[in-house]
Amino acid sequence: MLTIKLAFKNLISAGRRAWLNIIVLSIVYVMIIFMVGMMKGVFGKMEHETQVTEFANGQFWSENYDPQDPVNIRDYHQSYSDVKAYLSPDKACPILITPTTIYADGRSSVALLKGIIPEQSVMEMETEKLLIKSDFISVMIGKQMAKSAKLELGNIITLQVRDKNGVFDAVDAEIVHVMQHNIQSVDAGMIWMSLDDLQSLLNLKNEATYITISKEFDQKMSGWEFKDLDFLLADIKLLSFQKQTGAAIMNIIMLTLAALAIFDTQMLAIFRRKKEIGTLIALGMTQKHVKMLFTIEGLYYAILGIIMGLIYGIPLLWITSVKGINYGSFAEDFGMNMGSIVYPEFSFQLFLSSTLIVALVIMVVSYLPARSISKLNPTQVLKGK
Amino acid sequence: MSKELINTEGMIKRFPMGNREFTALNGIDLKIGKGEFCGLVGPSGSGKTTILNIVGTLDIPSEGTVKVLGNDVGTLTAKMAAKLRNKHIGFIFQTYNLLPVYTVYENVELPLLLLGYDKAKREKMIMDALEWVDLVDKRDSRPSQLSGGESQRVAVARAMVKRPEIVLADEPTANLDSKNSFNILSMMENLNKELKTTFLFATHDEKVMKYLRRKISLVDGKIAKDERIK
Ligand SMILES: Nc1ncnc2c1ncn2[C@@H]1O[C@H](COP(=O)(O)OP(=O)(O)O)[C@@H](O)[C@H]1O
Ligand SMILES: [Mg+2]
Repeated sequence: MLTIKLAFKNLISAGRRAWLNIIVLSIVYVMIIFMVGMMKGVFGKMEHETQVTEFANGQFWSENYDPQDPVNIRDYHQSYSDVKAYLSPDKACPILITPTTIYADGRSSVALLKGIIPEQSVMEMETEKLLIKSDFISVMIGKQMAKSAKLELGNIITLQVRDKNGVFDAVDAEIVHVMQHNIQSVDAGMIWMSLDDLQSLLNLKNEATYITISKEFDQKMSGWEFKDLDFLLADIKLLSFQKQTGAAIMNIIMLTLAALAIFDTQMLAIFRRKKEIGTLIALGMTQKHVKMLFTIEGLYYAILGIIMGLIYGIPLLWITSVKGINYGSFAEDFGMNMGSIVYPEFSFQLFLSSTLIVALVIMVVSYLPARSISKLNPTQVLKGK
Repeated sequence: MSKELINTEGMIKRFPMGNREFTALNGIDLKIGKGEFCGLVGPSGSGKTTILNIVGTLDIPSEGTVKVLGNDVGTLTAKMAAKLRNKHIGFIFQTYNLLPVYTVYENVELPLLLLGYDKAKREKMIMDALEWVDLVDKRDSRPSQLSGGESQRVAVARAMVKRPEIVLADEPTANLDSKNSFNILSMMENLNKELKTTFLFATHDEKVMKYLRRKISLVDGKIAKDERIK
């Protein structure tokens, strides 16, 4: 009790440097919580949106389909005639993919052309827009694709494809809709049309590259290989893991710097206050007791830093979690296209674990310099040596 | 337990010096009883501080036995030694050694806090001690606001507040002018008479020697002369 009081008094009287340490530590503490919460928000959102817009509850892949192999993508499709009876648009949606060359305004670019059932409700995509009437074939793209291929609503483009037999064919299409969501994997480098249109264009009646299913779908599909969400979301989960590891490393660096500052202050304090240490021993403290006094003094940095961090951090973090953070261009640095507003997620658990980690690290850096007190010779330190 | 408060027999202290040893105390036999007002005198390096350190349980003898209030200094645990210092021994240093972040009151309070006395008891004892050294009006000052004489008086109050058996004062006047030196010496003399506290000085200051009732002269770690005055 006495030690706790004395240590507090020492710290309070230690002046500017101590307060600077406390402020820095509080900022680091809040930053750690913010960054982890931000990552949770970003990747939680990304995972969720990718799931609902692209993967729904899983996919049945045609044999040998390999999304990583765009060169041979034209060959990955198979007939679903046998199971067609089960494929109602609210439960299962076949999708056919073929490479295409887009000609627009004398420019050409390559993309993947995807056929999808406009009436489907398996995925949260605005496929019903493909029903918009046009003098040409109705197609739609995402906003990212629009930007990168310099296309816009109402553009008439020519799509060149090769049919089942490898014969080139070309059709004119009108961009009847530009999707405004932020899911890269149904946007970048691809163009959507109705499945019927694509099937007749390629002469591939009742064929699909894969079939995306909803929760309600419970049929066995022989000849199709089921891929569950764990598998389909693995890439995003890996990315999320990598980015969170990156953030964790940042946090470790920040915390290390704050800890070093406190370590340094404590080392200096013990060096400068040797005579004081000697005096305390002469007054009747054991070296162990003095060691504890200095350790607790260091620990107060953690306690005050955390309290200070909570005082301004809780309102600040609460506001960001309610109002969201405009992720803007930051998102592109992260190599993803998220909605501009992200809502960080701050859980009690996150607060608790951050608090414990900060307290533990500071406990260690308070204890390490204080350890040397046991090795001091009281008669020497009394002389100030 | 002998009737002497301090009793050394054949006290030898050696310090390592490079790969050799240096003998700072070479067979000190010394008995000091209750209420004595005595001093170790001798040139610098003769071993005065070393004796105070051992008697004050801050160090141990290399050979011989040293008993302080019946406790064998050589075999005390760190905890027991700390307890003995806390309860029974007061220290006064040449450089005052006040704790800069505490007020005068708090500096004097520290030994009592370590003894675990309650607030009312502490307050009474601190005010008594501040009265002895005539510093009641400076109770809320910080050491940096005090003169050298005042600082040393706070140190005397801090050493005396717990009414120890023994006060060890190492060159207490070395940083003071003669007026302040006499002032502090007469205060200590009064306390010695009133409270029967044993004072052991280490000094080569003539002013201090005038006050001593026993003068133990050291030369090269040995007692050369041990004379009682008056
Ligand atoms: N810790 C130590 N290590 C080595 N030598 C020491 C140490 N402490 C004291 N000495 C030596 O012992 C001798 C006596 O020192 P000290 O007791 O401080 O003398 P005094 O107080 O009479 O001036 C001196 O020569 C000093 O250099
Ligand atoms: Mg000395």
